[in-house]
Amino acid sequence: MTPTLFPLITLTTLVLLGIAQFFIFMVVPNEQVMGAVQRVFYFHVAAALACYAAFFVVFVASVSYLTSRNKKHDILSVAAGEVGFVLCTIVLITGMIWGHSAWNTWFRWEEPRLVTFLVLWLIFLSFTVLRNFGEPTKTAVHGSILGILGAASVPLVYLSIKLLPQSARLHPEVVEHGGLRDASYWQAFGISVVGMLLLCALLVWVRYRIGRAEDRARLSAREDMTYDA
Amino acid sequence: MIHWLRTFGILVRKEWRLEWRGKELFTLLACNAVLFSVLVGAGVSSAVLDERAVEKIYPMLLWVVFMLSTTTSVTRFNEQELEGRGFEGLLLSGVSGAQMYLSKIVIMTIFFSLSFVFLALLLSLALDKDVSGVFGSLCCVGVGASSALAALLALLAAVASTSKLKGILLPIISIPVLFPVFLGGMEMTTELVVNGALADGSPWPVVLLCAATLYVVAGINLFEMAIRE
Amino acid sequence: MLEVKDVTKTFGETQVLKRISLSCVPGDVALLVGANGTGKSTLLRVAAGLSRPDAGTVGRSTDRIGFLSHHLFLYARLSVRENLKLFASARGATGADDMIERLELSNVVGRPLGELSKGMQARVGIARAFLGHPDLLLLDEPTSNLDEKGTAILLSEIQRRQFETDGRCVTLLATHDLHRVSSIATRAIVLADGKVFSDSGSGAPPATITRVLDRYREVNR
Repeated sequence: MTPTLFPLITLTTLVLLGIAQFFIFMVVPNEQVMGAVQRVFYFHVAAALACYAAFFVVFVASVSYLTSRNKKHDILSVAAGEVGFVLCTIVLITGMIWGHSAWNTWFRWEEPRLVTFLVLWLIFLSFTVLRNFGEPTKTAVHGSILGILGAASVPLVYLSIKLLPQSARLHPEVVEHGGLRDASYWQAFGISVVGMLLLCALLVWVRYRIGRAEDRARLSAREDMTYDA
Repeated sequence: MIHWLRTFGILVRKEWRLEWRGKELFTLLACNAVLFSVLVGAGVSSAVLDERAVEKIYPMLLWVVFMLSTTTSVTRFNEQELEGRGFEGLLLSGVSGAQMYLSKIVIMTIFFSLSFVFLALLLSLALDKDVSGVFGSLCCVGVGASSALAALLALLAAVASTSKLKGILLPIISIPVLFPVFLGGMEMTTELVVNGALADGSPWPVVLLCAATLYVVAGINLFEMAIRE
Repeated sequence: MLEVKDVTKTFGETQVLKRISLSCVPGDVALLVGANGTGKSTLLRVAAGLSRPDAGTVGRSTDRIGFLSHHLFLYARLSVRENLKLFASARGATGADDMIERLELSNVVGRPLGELSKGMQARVGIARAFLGHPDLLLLDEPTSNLDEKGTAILLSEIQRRQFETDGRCVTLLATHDLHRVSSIATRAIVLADGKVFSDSGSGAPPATITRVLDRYREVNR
């Protein structure tokens, strides 16, 4: 990675997120039914998309670690797992804020996507727990196995929750049903999604660099020990 | 192929003997079933539920208890491999991880299925809910779900048994991934208990089949990596 | 033949093997000596393919490996016969009964392995390792639980394999028990700090082996 790329992406992300905030809070008009709370939609959907992206990275990095045993791929899968966990938490919290305003309750088990994200959150949580409590020499392999299983289960988890008889179609299908009528809605939505995806990539990158630095520190500590001996 | 099948048969016999002599999985599953049923019986009686409510709560309790009981009992199943590191002797003898994995699934499925039948009976006593009319179909659902459960737990028990948390880790890492099996089992049981038969075109057998296929494919490919150093 | 090339292996923070290279030719009965923690066991596990090296390569001319370590690779709940039959069948080999006789296990053959003494368990371990006519013997401190008789049986089994393969079997034997096993050695390799410290070379005369081992003893005094 070139040293100039990192500040460039950081700057772009900050600018995009700044513009997104401007659009969300200053430009976009109040939604007729939901009012101001509707603005949480831009964070919610963008974080959800970024969360799926993080899951995808965990899956690819885990498969590629198990086939190549390249430590870098394992560090990438850890990074994407942790960032995915944070994003998933954001999706849940913003979803609950929306839910409280729309249905007057923080969590509804009839709402398939919210429940799906709760299960995804649990999968990310288990991934993080395993990483921290696994047998040190086997953590990378075991973490990758769980990463693959967790990510591969996502479509089935989503489908099974959607099939539940109590799963009413409570989720607002804003985009699919052409709900964003005003052009500024679309602008705010597009910028939020791109900004959040870039933020996700940036956080994964930063976490990856920290992981690599930790790894290098371990290696040099080992060389020092060898030298002392 | 004949050698493969013969070796597979020998491994199944080995797993059976190990479990039958120790009776650890058997004891844990049976004790958990009794313990949870007593707790549930006492809890539900204090909640003073009417017959209609009990009918609906029976499938849920059956599956919650079954999932908890199996996921907390099964780590011990893999520890016998670690005690004398017998699996390494088998690997050196040309046995593949896939063969070991599949032989474990066979034995686990048998014990899980027995445990399910036992639990279904105990809970019907504890909740005073007659399920004799649908007992055959209920057992079929139990065997199907048990095989999916065994397919995942045989793999993840190998992951959990080397961790610092041992048995406690297994429910944490397996239950989120097992969500489709949990929902599928619960919904099919509800259809059986409430309507007396599975609904026409019920999607849940397919969900269960997809989950089992996903876990088996993952296990065949990943089990050897999970146990090897 | 066994060819270990530039192998590195790390456990957590500790680098156990440091770009170690070693080549064994058919007929080698090599003693692998070194202080605790110098990487003998790890080298044997990597050579057997049980442990994956972080870097470097391991080449073997055979998959018929007889491996012995302080882990017995057996099941405590199975009887001696069941254990040996299991591993013989897994290899597609026969001869479990023959092995029971040669290792003088007939009296305990129906008892669960876990109920036997350490010495008898070690004998069952030897029987398991020598099942299926191995061409490569990787033995990690095989005499540690054995009495004089058990050691004699082990050494005669190693020599039997040499005889049966027309002297083409490769044996790598890690040990601290030099006075009991050095009589059959045709090579001595000393490990220190994850590397080969000194090596007598294949087919070395007893005097050379003794010199290498004496030097090792002096360094470790």
